[in-house]
Amino acid sequence: MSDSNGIVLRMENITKTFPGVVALDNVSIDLYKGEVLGILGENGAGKSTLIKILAGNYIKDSGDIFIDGQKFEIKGPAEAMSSGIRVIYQELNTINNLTVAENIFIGEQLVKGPLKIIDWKGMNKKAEELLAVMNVKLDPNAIIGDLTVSEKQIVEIAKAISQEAKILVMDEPTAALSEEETQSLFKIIQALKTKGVAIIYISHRLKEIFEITDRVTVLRDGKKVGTLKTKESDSNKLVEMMVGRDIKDMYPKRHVPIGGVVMEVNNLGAEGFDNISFKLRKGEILGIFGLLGSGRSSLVKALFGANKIKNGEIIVNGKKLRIKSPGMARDAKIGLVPLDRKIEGLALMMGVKENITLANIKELGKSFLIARNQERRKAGNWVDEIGIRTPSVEQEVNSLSGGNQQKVVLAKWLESGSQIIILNEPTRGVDVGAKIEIYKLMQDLCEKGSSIIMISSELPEILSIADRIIVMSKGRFTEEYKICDASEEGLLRSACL
Amino acid sequence: MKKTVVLLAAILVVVLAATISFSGCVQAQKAEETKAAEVIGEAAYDYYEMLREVAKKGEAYPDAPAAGKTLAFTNIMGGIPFCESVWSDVQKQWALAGGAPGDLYYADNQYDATIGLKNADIMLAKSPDVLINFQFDAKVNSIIATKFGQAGIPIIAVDVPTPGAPFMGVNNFYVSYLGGEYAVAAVEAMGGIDMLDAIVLMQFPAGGDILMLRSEGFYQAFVDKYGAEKIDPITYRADGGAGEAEQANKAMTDILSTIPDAQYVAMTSINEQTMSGCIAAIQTAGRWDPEKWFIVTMGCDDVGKQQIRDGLTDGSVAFFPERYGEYLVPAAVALMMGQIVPPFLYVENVVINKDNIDEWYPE
Amino acid sequence: MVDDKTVDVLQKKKVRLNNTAILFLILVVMFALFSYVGRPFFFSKLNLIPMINNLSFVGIIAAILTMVMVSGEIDFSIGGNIGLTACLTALLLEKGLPGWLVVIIALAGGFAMGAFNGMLVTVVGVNSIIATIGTMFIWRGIGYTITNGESKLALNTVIDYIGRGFVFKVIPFPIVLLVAVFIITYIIMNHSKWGRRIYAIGANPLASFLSGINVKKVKFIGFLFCGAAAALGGLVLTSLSAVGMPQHGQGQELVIISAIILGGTALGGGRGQILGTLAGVFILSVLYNFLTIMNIYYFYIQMVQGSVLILVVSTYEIRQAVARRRT
Repeated sequence: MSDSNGIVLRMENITKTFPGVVALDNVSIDLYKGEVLGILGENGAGKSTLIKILAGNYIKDSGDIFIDGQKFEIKGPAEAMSSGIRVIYQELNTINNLTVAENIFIGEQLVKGPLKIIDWKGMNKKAEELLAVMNVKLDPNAIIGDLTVSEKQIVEIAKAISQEAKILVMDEPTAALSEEETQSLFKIIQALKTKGVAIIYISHRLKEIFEITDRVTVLRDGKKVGTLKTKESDSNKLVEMMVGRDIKDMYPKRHVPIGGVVMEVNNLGAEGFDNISFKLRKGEILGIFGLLGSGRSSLVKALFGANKIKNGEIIVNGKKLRIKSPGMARDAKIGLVPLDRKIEGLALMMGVKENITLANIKELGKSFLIARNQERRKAGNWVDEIGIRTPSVEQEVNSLSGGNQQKVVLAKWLESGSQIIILNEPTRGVDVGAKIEIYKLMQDLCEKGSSIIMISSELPEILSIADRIIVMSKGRFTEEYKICDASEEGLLRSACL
Repeated sequence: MKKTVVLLAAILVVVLAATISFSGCVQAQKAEETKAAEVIGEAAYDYYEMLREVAKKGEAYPDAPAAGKTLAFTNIMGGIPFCESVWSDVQKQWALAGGAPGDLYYADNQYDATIGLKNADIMLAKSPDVLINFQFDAKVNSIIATKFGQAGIPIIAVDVPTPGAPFMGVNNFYVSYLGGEYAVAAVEAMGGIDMLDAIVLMQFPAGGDILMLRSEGFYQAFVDKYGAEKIDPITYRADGGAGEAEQANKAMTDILSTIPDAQYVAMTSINEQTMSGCIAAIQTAGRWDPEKWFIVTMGCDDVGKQQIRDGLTDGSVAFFPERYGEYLVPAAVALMMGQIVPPFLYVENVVINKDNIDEWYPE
Repeated sequence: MVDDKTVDVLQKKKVRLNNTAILFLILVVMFALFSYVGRPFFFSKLNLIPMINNLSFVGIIAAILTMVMVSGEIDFSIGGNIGLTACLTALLLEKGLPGWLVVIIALAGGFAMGAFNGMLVTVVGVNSIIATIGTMFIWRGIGYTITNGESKLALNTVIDYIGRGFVFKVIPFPIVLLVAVFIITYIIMNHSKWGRRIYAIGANPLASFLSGINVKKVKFIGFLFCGAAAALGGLVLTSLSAVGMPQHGQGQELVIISAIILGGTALGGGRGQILGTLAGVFILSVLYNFLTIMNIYYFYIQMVQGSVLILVVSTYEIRQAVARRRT
């Protein structure tokens, strides 16, 4: 019955919770043979969770999965693979010291002869064919580590295709691709469609959704908002569904008077980037935009003293500084809200108060001892002031939601009196409500005289919140935009220079 | 919850402190008892000699003298055959002496001074009438002797001296000399010292001076017979470890390469595990000829007996660990009864060889 | 909704803190049971005081090593350090140096050994397991070399006092040392800024570094004092045995680390309680003491100790898994 309908995959009422967060709440999707289903949603909407359940990386709390009409329990990645599900993740899984061909055929090398000797020639040849289908020229013998991010991505796709995928899931596949590369990817997708492969295409780039998908399902805050035929929808409608409110409410921007220069960076160079110069003014939000591998995170680390500076200078409040460690950056009143808060920002197994005071332990009392009451009071003040939702300041931060964790990281730097706050992807993995709060918070800080450097790869965010945007590509500065001159196309073009 | 932890800790401390004050008057009396036998002379050891004769025959001691008494035995290294033999003979003799099994306290020193000290303290807490102390380091034994001396508990030392305590066991120099004399006789039968290319002593310097005597006596027997001028140039010493065949194997391989032309060699080592490694090395090097290697080992444990039966070694000086109890328990009982015992109770050693092995150890 | 969450949180906290409380509970039960079964010997001044005396050097080192382990590192060289310190002490006494000077030199030697470990780990970047297993052999090797493998009597009024002296004529000095070290480390770990840094580094070294904490410095100082603590332990053991010998402390690193892990410290760092370590040290020692009193063979004792270690640590894991599932 369902087979005649052509439904390859049906996920019904899937629910998944994590400590403090309902990641998916009764979400259902259908996927037909030979179609491209777009899944659209903000970061934290539940897209990745849904995919990870499908791939067997997470176990759902409840709900059912049907493949070809048969109920199917996915208990691990191996089972997902065996039922023909292939996932290409945002974070690449290529093995850097193997060749292209080895990566493509990893796990199922071609063998020949009775002794099952690895058939290198055959593997290379087949790899070449696969790559040719995708219209890319790549040497099957090239070592993965030497390839660019987009080339690695292509290898991942080739790997998925080589394994006879029935259901192919692509999670933000174009995040690191240039326009040209994106187009060749779309050609591949079209080719796969005609072969009857069902594709789930995840993106938050509307343009791509319109270009490649047949239908689109929108998720928001872990719930399914609806599914539309792509042809029957338009951009405004989708955004409204995604955000759940008018776009102006989504990115509240206040006018904050901008003062004099507080930080000046001249010809700065370090590992991953070189020759970067910019000025940051009081009350300003300076956006830095760049794709993966553009050197934006390296720049942040160098500014914060975590990576060694090779050349150039940093001037803060008129004084030339040699920032050799994060401790020195902190003392210069610079704070960093890092890219991955769980790895770089928080001691997850410690409490809210310990994390808030982490950068400023020495101020926790006059003697060598910690004044516990003082600490609780300080932490409590920040919890109230920036609205961290936690049962108590003793709560382990592990159990807080992404948005609240991010606020804890921010509170850490406020507690240590930072005047220049660098935020690397401040709203990654944060739900929409918390996102808006973080934007407001950033502007509150600017109003109080702080300055902010915001690194973001989310175009709507950076275009709405920043006062000025610097674009980086391949470790170099490419262009600076005043906010009134900036557009999505412009930024992307500069980022691919 | 944190307070509960602190509270529990505090309770423990209080309880411990309380024990300090209430118990502790157990041991003071003992000091007086042992000094009874002050008579010095041949007759003084009569009681010990009498018990020793009974023990030798494996008969029950008259009047069950150990009944109601307690004896502590700390073993040097439980689990190895030598020590297990000593321990089982002590148990056997204790039963013959009329002692209850529960009154024989046991602890295992594990070749470890830290454990030895802990065990000594635990034994002290159990206040036995006598301690048989089998602990590997003579200097550590001095602090053990001090503690037991203060408590008035006499000690009998086994194989390793304990200051102030009668010593029972092997006279290392004597057994080694005995082995040396046996080798000298073999060399003489072969045609004299000029036939001999090398004398190899596989030693264990880290074991201390007394253990060194267990191979130096062998050398001394040769020197006494032929003079140092003849012997010194052909004597080779090496560190073969405490009994790991592998280290002995390496050491022997090194020696073989320093004496590439030697054919007739006399050799001894501190124990038979070491010798196994040495023989393996000689065989590996393709230089093994049982007619030309005169090997005398020390101990005659199961490994040593097998080596003799296999024709690998020419003889072994038997330490008879399975007879240690025949000396130890009579001495301990004599001390319990307020009698005195000789300061040195040496094992009556015998060289075991192919001809007499079945007599001593019938298969 | 809010109420639900609060209840949840309370349960979770209870679970986490209770581990140490449970250990003390186990200890109390053990004392009670052993006192009855092992009467009259176990629960007596004659037994318990020397027992604590003998565990003191293990406890002193365990307390400091707990700090190193909470910071996410480990030090296997403590046993070798004990041996070398013991040899050094005996040799210097033999040379006729005054006791107080010998103590100072021995402790300085401990600091030096700790500094060397710290340098290897924080400056050169060698994994601490590898670095300290290496130095463990080096320290012990030096001990054997300088003494020729022989044990040496170490008798001197100052040295005697460290392991066998009495404060106010009743309290053995090693116990005073033990209590002092535990009070100090307890305050540091639970109430001081330094302790906070140690826990933070163990919980997340990268986040701590990016919060301006000098991770390398904290770790280095941990190793430094661990070396000194091991040297102090070596002095105590030398005094307890009145002998300096290169074999001293052999195998003690595993005893000490077992006690720490038994006490609830996570091998990966971030978790661990000083009082838990104290309980761990006591549980292992009390077990040994009681079983020896009961004439149990050493190999069985080892089996029991190993089983208890695995049992308790498994319990931690299970409790943690349960706690995680509850949220």
